[in-house]
Order: sequence, then structure tokens, then C-alpha cells
Amino acid sequence: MNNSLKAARVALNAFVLVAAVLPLYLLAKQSVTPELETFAWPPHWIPHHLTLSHFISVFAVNELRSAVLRSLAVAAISAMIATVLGAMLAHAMARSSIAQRIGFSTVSGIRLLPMIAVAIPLGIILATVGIYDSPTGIGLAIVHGAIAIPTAALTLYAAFVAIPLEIEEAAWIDGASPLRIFLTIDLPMARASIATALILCFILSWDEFGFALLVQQTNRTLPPLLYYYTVFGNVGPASALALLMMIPAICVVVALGPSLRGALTAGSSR
Amino acid sequence: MNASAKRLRTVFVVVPCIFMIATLVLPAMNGLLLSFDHNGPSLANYKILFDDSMFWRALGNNLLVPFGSVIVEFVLGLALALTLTARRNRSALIETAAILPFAIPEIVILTLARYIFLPRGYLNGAIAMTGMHPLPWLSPRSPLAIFTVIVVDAWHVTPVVMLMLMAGLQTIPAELYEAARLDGAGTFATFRFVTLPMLMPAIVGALILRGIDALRIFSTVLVLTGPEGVPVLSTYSYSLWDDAQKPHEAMAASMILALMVTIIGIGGLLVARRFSRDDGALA
Amino acid sequence: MADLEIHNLTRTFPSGGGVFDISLTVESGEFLVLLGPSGCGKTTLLRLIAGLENPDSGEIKIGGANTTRRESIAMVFQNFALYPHMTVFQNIAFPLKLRHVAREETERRVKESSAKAGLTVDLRRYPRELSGGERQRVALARALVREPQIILMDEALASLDAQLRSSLRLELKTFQRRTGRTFVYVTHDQVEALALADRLVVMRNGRVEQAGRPQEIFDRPQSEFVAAFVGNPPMNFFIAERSPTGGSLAVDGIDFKIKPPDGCPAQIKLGIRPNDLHLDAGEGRVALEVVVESVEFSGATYIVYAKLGNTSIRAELPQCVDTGAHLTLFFDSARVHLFDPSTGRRIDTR
Repeated sequence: MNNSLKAARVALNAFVLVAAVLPLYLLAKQSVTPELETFAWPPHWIPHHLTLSHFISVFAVNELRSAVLRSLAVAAISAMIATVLGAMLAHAMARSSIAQRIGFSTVSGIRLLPMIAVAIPLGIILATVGIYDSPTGIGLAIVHGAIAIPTAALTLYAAFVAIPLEIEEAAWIDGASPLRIFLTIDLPMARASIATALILCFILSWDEFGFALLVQQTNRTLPPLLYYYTVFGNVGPASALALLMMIPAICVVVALGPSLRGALTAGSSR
Repeated sequence: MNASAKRLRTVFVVVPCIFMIATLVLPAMNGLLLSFDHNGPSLANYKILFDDSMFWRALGNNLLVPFGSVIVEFVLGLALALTLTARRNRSALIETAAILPFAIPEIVILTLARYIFLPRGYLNGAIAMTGMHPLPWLSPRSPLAIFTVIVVDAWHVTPVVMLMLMAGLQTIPAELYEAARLDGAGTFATFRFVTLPMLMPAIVGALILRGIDALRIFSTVLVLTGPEGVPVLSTYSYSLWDDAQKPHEAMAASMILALMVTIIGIGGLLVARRFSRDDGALA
Repeated sequence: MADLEIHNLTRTFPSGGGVFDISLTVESGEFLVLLGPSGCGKTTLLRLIAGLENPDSGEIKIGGANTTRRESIAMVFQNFALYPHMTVFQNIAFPLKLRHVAREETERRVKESSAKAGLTVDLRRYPRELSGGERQRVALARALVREPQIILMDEALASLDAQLRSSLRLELKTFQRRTGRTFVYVTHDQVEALALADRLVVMRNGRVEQAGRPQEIFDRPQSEFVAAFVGNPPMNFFIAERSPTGGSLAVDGIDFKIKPPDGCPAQIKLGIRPNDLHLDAGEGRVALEVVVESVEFSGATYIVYAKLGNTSIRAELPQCVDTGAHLTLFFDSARVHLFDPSTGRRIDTR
């Protein structure tokens, strides 16, 4: 019995490695294979010719370049919105049971909303305000900010709960106002979690597909752009673009490693 | 301290909650109103849906695909969590590899999946090399396409389930395993009578979170099969809005999905609450 | 001059704790200690003085004004509550920074108060790099830096180890004398309380049980509770009855040769401190025949557990005795404390 367990374990490990590595290899391979060769049947496992033209085209084509910039801007702004508002909510939740109840029920209520039920009427509202499909992506940044608040709040909640009440009271006795205490005591003490929250919210926005597809119909960000490239056939550029899109996420996993994993499960949502 | 601190806390709760509600809940409310508007208030939008066979397919798939996906995720996620937390077999490489699919943006995973499962994709290429017949993995309306959608959806999310279960496994004290071993329990008995009961709260929590997420499936279907290959409610609603230009019917479809998620979500929470009450004896 | 006046202060909590109708005056330059078991309301009282809690009723006057003015109060917390992300200098300077004190002035005052607090470490270090005693000194320096009238301390030595605690105790007392500040100090440790206090307030169930000089509290406890709580090893208590002749009190039929006070009840609680029991007869002392049950060595003295008839008795003796030995213990009848068993209040013989 122990032997069969061991065999199962080895098989599982092998499966995990193949499932993680082989697709990435194929993606990388496609991004450096000339367009014609990618249609070969049976498919080539190793490229017969190499080219960098797909990467060059990613940066040469105007649409791609502006999509990269727009995605960066949307992710940065929404991460900022979500972390600021999430920190406020998390701090109140950590210090008052009523705030905790309101916060948790709002956050879980938000999670019950299907993207599609929000995105279509939201598009109508954004259009009346004049920021639907805006070239700056500001409408999408606001939406991403809102959907990332739960992630930021849950990440920061643990950090604020860990700060002893005694320290806030000491600061109050020393003469600081509650807002001052929040800014000069709580936020600096939670700075590691704030960095984690910022990164998580950035990635959340960078990866988000549904709202981006519906809100930025023509002034696209990277995920919907990749979708159109994939569905409408440009294998090489699509693969190059996909590889570029993975860079931030891979950096984070490698750099933050274990500390990120807890945060991922705490705030995981699509 | 109390008065001014309380005032600040009120602001700190109200501002983020209003922002979330204004950005997400109010539009959904507006959508709910629109779904009852067909040149004046009426149920016509819903009636049109109920007369559309595509709607019923979408509804069916919206139950079948999440169900299958959650099962695959849990079987794989539990197996991975157990292997990775077993102390003697810890491997940072395997752990990173197991988390990788979740770190990759969903749309990239789907792009990859498309190249793998297309009729002339890598999977059929590999099958052809072994001399067997290639299969139509993504052929519209086929049960096989439903299977493919389930596998791809689970591929991306299994690491999340695995991480949640690993967090649960780490809370089980080691003495419990040692006690079970001293009592003569074998590997499977230990799993059945120690690990599984202790892990139950984590399993239930992960099931609810993942179940709610799975019901909202959208991009997997859209990228792999297009909105009509294996329609689910989200893609059905999307195609009503984007292709057919019928926003009010699209809203009606999405409201049915919202209702479904709410019912299953609240039902799940009630089950979880009852479960955690029963669990008192274990703690 | 009274620095701090508390009038009829009440603050209740839903859980049942709190303080009830407390009135107290603290003189300028006084070291006041609030002593009591956990849950007696001493910390609540301190937090009310600090302004961290608001009273349901009653008032607190500081320096004659009818408000808890944060300007005149500083506080040292149980775990010191140093700001971990600031250096020692920044910690001490934080109250000054909030008051927009100029740079040179800040530096001068930080140096001055750290010197007064006996802080010798590099001020550029972080709290996590310091030992417990050094952290305590940083907390003191931070409390002192804005020159408050009153410094509040909440179990400020409780988180340190025993040796450090006693040396810091001494230092704290000297510090208070040197700075001339008013101190209000909360503790549940009676040794600490007796050592530090100019005046001691013993609290129980949210009320003041007795207030007075430490010696007074120890020598003339006003209630059975105070008598039992202050003093180590704890006081012996017996139920005494008036002897049939009515001329003296007897415990378990053993005559204690104490004249009952006028109008005292038929039964009375009688207390003798273990260190008031002696082996030598002295002059006019009362003798008790006891059988030794066990002996504990406590360093300087021996704690002897014995039986007086059927009653247990504890004595603190300078020399060791054998288990099972028959012993005669002597006590001074003036050192006996009498309490009304129904109210727990002291009955004075004189």
C-alpha cells in the first residue's frame, strides 16, 4: 500500500510539473516562431526557425503600445484607490465590532454580484458621465478599484488587528488626533501589508478580463486585446503579448513567495 | 478619545462602503429595473428568454460546468495539499509549480488552453503522434467541449483550493497524527478519522467561496468556445448585449444568474453555519 | 495643593465591571498607588483619569480645571507602547513633534528627559533592539519630555523579570522624588505597592476599600479584605467567640485572652499576621500551643504551617522547627485585628 501511495505521489508531482512548465514552454516557443510555421500540422514541438518579429511588432504597433501603458495606468490607479479605501475600512473593522459587521457583509455582498450583472448597466452609467471607454481608462480604474477593496481590506485587516490598542492609546495621550494616529502610527506599522495589498490589487486589475472587455470596448487594455488577438488568429503576437502579461505576476510570485500565499487565499476572488 | 475616534471610524466605514455600493451595487440595481422594462414595465424580457432554447442550455451548463469544475478542483487540490504538507516530501519546486497556474493571468491561461485544445492544437498533435484519432475537444454543443471547459476552468483555480486546504492542514496539531499512529491507525485510517474531520471547516469554507466564483464563469467559455459553443448565463447575456444589441434582455439573463448565485451563496452560508455549530464537539 | 480631584466618579460596563462613586484627591508631588486584585476597577480608574474612557457621571479636576486635559497628563503603559517604527529619539520626541516644538528645543528636551530617566543607549536605535529595562526608561523619558503635572503608570513593571523589577522599582521612586511629579501607579503586586507608595488606595469591586499611608494600611487595615490582600504570607483569620464569662475571646475553645470591645457581636473575625507570632514570650504576650504540620523555607525566614486545636495557623519564624513538634507561639494582643464577620469592617479595640 505504501508503494502505491508513493507511486501516486510521484505521478502527481510529475503531472504538476508538466502542467506548469509545458504550456509555458509552448507559449514561449510560439512567440519566437514565424507565423507560417505555427500553422504546421502536426504541430512543431521545437521551432525550426526563430524570429523576434512578434516582440518587435508588439512594441511597434500603436494599439499594443497604448494598451500596455493603459493597463499599467489602470492597475496603478485602481491599486491606489483600493489600498487607500481598503486601509480605511480595515482599520475601522479592526477597531469596532459594528464596523466589522458592516464591512464583512458589504464585502461578501459584493462577492455575490456576477460581473455581467454589473458591467452592462455600469457601462450605461459611465457613458452618461462621459468616461465610458475613455482613452485614459479612468472608468475601468474606478471599477477595478471597487472590486479590489475586499482584497485590500482583508489583507490589511490582519495587520491592523495585530497592532496593540495600547500603542494607539499612547499616541493619543501623547497628543495625537485619531486621524494623526492612523497616518503616523498605524500606516507605518502596517507598511509591509500595505505593500502586499498594493501588489495584489495591481495584479488583480492587470489580470481582470470581464470588466475590461465590457468597459474598454475600443480603447482596450491588455487582457481584452490579448483575447481579440487569440480569437482572431495572430498566434505569434498573441503569444508574445501573453508572455509580456505574465511578467508582473511571475515577478511577484518569485519575489514575495510564501508571504504572498497567505494573502492570496485571504483575498482571492476573480 | 471616544467621540473623535468614533467619528473617524464612521467615516472610514462609510466612505469605502459607499464607493463599493455606488460603483457595483447601484448599477446592478439599475440593471434589475432595466430587466423589467420593455417599452414600459413588463415581464416581456423574461418571457423572451424562457422561449429561447439557448437560454435553457445556458442555464443547464451554468449548473453543470461549475459543479464539475469544483469537483475536479477539490480532488486535485486536496491531493496536492496533502502531498505538499507531508513533512518528508516538502519540495519548494513542486510547490511553486503548483501555484504557478494561478499566478498566470487568467486570459493567458485561456490563450494557452486554446492553442492546446484546438482541432489542430498540441493535444491532438500529441494524440496523432501515438497513432490514435484526434478528438474535437472544442466542438460546439458537444459534451466533450463541456468536459474541456471544466478541465481548463479547474486548471486555473486548483492552486487556490490547494492553498486554502494547506492553510487548513497546517492548523492540525502534529500530536494528533502521532496519537493516531500510536493507536495503530494506518495511512488511510488516519486520513479518514483525523485529517478529514479536522479539515472539514476549511473544506466547507473553500467550497462556498469557490462555488460562488465558479457560478460566475465567463471568460473560460468565451475564449475557448465563443459565446455559443458551451453557453453559460454570463456569455449568453454578453452575446445578447454585444451581438444582438438587446441590453434589456441581457439584463434579464444576468439577473437570473445573480439570483442563482445569491440563492446558492446564502444556502451555502447557512449550511456552513450549521456545520460550524456541529463542529463544536470537535474543537 | 491638590493636583487631581475626583468626585463621585462612576463608569459601568455591560460586563458588570467598572468603578462606582469614587472620590479621591491626589496632592501635588505625591506617589499614589492604586492596588487591588484583577477586575477591581483600578485600571478603569486610571484610564478615566487619562481620558481614555469617559465617565457615566462624576468629575475629574486636574490642576483645578474641570476637564481631563491631555496636556497635563502622561502615561506609561504595561507593555510600554513604544512606537516600533520610530527610533528611541523619535519615540521620545513624538509628543513634542505633535506640539510643533522647534528642532533645537526638541533635541535639548529629549536629551534632558532621557538623562533624567537614566537612559544611556544610543538614541538612534530602535525599541526592538533594547532590553526590557531600557524600554521602560524610554517610556519614562517619553512621558516626561512634555513636562506633565501627572504621570500615570499601568502595571508598568509587570512585564519585566523579578530582579530587574526590584531594581527599577527603586529607580522609579528616586526618579519621582527628583522630578517632583505627581504619580498615579496601578499594580496588583502588594510588594511593589508598599515599596513605592506615598499613599496607597486599595480597591475592590470598583470601590475604594481603604486609602492611606502604606504603614497605616498594613498596621490598621480597615477591612478584612484589605487585611487579607496586603501582607505576605497572608494574615491568619479565626472565628472567635465570647467566652461564657464574657471577659475574653476564644477560638475553638482556646482562650486568646483578648477583651472583646463594647457592643461587639457574639461572633467576631480575629486576624493575626504570621510575622506577629513569636517564639519568645516577651512581655505580656499571649501564648498559643500548636502542633507543627509542615515548614517552608522562604529565604530569610521559615513559614510554619501548624494546627491550633482544629484550626490551621501560619507563622513566620526566624528559625527552623521540626515537623510534628509541639510549639508555643506568643503574640501581642495589641497586634490583633478584629473584624465584624457580617460587614467585614474593622472593629477598634481602643
